[in-house]
Amino acid sequence: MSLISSLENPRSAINLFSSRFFLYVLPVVVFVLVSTTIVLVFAVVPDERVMGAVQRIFYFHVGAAMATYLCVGVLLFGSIFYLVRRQVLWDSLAEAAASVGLVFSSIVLATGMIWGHSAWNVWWRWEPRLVSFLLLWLLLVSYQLLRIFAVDHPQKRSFAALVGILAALHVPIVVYSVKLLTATEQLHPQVVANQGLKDPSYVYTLVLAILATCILSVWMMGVRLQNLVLQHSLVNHWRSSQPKVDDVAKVVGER
Amino acid sequence: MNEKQMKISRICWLLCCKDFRSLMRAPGQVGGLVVFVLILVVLMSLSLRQLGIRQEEINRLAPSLIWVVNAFSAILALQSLAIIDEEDRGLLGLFLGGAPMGVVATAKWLTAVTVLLALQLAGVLFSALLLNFPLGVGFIALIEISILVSAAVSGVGVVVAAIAVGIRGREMILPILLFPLSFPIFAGAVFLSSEALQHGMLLRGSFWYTLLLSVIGVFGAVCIAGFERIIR
Repeated sequence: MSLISSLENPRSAINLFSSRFFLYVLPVVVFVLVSTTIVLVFAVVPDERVMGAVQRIFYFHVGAAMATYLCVGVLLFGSIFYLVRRQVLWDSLAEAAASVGLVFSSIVLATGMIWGHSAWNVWWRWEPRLVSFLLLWLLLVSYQLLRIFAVDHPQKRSFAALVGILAALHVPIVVYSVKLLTATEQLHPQVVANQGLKDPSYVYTLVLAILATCILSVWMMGVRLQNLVLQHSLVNHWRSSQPKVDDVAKVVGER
Repeated sequence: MNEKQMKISRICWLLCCKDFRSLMRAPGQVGGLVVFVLILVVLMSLSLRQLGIRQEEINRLAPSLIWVVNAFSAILALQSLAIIDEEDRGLLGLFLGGAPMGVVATAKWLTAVTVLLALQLAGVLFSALLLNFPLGVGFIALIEISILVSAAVSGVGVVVAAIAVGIRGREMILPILLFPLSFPIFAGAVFLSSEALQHGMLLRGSFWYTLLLSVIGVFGAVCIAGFERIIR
């Protein structure tokens, strides 16, 4: 618990984000992984037999999906910890995770629609896996809207934590429910489950793409969290530096 | 039932009675909800008749139409219940009175289930009347489906409505928060209703029925358990 308590101190969080690892090492790692993935996707892996070059979008699509699930997991973690510990840092972590998760889920939907248009000749199909992801995207949008509408409300963090938990709980319910449907009822390709990645280059490119997007999402969450922690620190500093009403009244009374 | 359980059930019953009394003191709200359901059904009927859609097609579409109407009426009902609570400061009184929050949440959930169930059955009857589709023996199954849907939607709707009522743009934020969460519930209701109206039976072992039960369990437990930490 002392480790958690030390992390909840805003100064510790600011020191972490000012460290060499966060400022120099992590961005370089992200750059190297993402660049390598792009080179592998566009220059190394062969064209897929049926879909041709369009299939390459699969690596970004799956990577973004894994990053979304990671962000939703962090959102759940931050929301639960906020309700238990009532420390602003956990709420900020949840907010950062939701923001980054929304970005990556938007990428998943966009890339999926591009791929789907090539495969099915329509931009969208009301297929369980697509609908479940659309619902997740809508929940992340709702989370952001709640934050905007409740900006002045004293309980905004608790409300956001509840919505974050409900959004995260929604994911396994719908993902699990999709698995109950038979393969014929699902139109979304199940490449990995059906062992469709025959060429080894497909496999290690996919693994690298997933790793790159996940680490990218972690870095983005860290940057966003740093902004939020600094913002809260500034607001708290401003509030504590304002003269109190009693002090003002005393001065006015003396005059 | 031991003494503690009897005390908890009595508190729950009293809180439900209090909520119903508050609702009855606002007959305009109750009447308005029923009129809203009727207006939606009339709009649906008019728009379909304008296109000259045949009765057989309307019979096939009936489950979707019923549950679209019920989805909107559920939003309005949950919002009304939360607004009544906010206006007469009922929830604040319960916090100050020291009532166990789990019991308060359960009582609010039961009240919402009852109100939503009544509205949904009204929606079904209005739809059958104005769209001329036969209910038959499927009506009994529809009642059970309505109970499940009311329980599922109320499980999350009560807390979300309590959140929305206190913030800006509450008319917008409640449907924006609630619809994505309740979409699987209404999708399941449409499927089960379709089977019930066509074949007169409820598919209890089906995937959608299991999904409805799991949503009731998961969302209801989270919301009732979290009522104190969040709404208080």
